[in-house]
Amino acid sequence: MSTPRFTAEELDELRQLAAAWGKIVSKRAFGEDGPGLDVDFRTMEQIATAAAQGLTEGALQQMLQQQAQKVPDEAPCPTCGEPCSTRPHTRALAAQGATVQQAERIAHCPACRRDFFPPAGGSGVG
Amino acid sequence: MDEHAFSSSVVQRIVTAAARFSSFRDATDAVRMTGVSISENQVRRLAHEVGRELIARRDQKVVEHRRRQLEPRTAVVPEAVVVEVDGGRIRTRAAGAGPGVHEAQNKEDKVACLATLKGPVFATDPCPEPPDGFQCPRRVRRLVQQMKGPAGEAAAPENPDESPPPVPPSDEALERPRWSPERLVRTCVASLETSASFGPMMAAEAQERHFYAAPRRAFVADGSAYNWSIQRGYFGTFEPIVDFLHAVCYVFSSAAAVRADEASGWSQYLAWMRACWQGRVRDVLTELDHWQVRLGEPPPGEAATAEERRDPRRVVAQARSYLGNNRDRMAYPRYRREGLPTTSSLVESLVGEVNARVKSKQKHWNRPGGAESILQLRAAVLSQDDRLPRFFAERPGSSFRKRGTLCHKSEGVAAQTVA
Ligand SMILES: [Zn+2]
Repeated sequence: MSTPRFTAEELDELRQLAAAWGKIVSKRAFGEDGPGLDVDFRTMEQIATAAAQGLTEGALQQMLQQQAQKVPDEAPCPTCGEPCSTRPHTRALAAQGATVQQAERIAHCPACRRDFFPPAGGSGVG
Repeated sequence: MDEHAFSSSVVQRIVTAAARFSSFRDATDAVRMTGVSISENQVRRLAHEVGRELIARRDQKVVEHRRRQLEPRTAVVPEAVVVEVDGGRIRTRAAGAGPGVHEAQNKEDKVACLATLKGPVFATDPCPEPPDGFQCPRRVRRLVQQMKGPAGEAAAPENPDESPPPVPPSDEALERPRWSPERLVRTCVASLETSASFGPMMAAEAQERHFYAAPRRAFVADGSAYNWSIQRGYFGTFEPIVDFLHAVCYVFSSAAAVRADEASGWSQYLAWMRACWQGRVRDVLTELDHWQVRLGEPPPGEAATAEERRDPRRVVAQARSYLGNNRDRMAYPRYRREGLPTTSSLVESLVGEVNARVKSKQKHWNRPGGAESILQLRAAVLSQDDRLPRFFAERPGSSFRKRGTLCHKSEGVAAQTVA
């Protein structure tokens, strides 16, 4: 199973894009003029961390959801190969910087009496 | 469905903490500090799960190596390499016997240190006289005490209720002198398996690191027979070298045993130690043979008491057998000229670092799986080869699920895609 890997340059480009959104965060928290002299660094750090966490959550959630939509309604059982219908399933996934509700699909094979998780993206593994 | 999973990069952090910190309790606290909510049991379970996968991977490499299919991980051929092996003790308990410690047993774990080296070679012995450290009574006595083993006074049978874990000999006298090679990159293999299985594991690691192609190769260990059967079986082209410090211990004990008072025992030690340093072990053996004739043969049977163990006839017989068996691995002047190590200090300090995680009075590891898996994790974090990051990078991108969820054993193949 191969997964596309991103280069350090591509990842850095994404980081720079997100860094530009820092202006939005600051504006949202402190208005057009930014924080006053009475705002200490600890507070700024809190705001930045919350925003970063939200961005992580939102990005992961989005990618997982879009991927789950690509899982077909039917998937072959990895044991007997019979097609089984899949249904949505959610679990909490602790990732770096955020915990997200992972939307995925699960299937049950009545013949083998087992549940299985069909591969997302229809790569045909299993 | 209350289900919880960890992404593979989070598991990598959890498992690294479990291997680095001295207990699962501390590792759990450390992981929680990064904002991940997790229980100590989950940390323990994930660590052993990854440990089991590392065992499977390691065994797979052994098979590939046996079939001559294991390729070196690097194209670079090291200039000089050393393989050192030593053993430690790990406390185990019967698995599946409920909470608490059942059928406690001490098991021997084997630890190998594979290191690339850097250093010059010499036309003549760069250090023909023994360094001061070996001529200082206080330091030598401390060394002999630290080494324990059959040569030291503390040659008591393994006591289950135990002295503190042995400190690796880190005496200032034994620090690396200018002429001895410098360690570059070290990796570690550790296991509870027998030497028949451990040799192939070491060989697979050596193959992956291109050790067999290095121009200068050494295998250093103490005198135990199993070390040399590993050397003959898997490292036959490596120069076999017996740890000089172990030889010193035998020489010290026998010198003290044959001489009536401390002062003449010390001068006898100095003469014999210097002879060994200068590669004249045969002279020492000849003198020890004479002493054995004068004192008489040791009484039959095992020594039962400390008094009996100190019997000069026994001490001399032990030294004769140790030095006699190893005399061809004691050409120290030549090893120094060739820029090879003469002590197994690298593996001894590595054993200390392994023990810092796996060994304490309270720790009993499930036999055999729990002990073996923590050894793999500890070996991984003590190796300078990014073993855990590589493992996670190459592992199929599945996340780790909490136990007792819907998915059954074989779900790993039903490809999950969370990286
Ligand atoms: Zn089925």
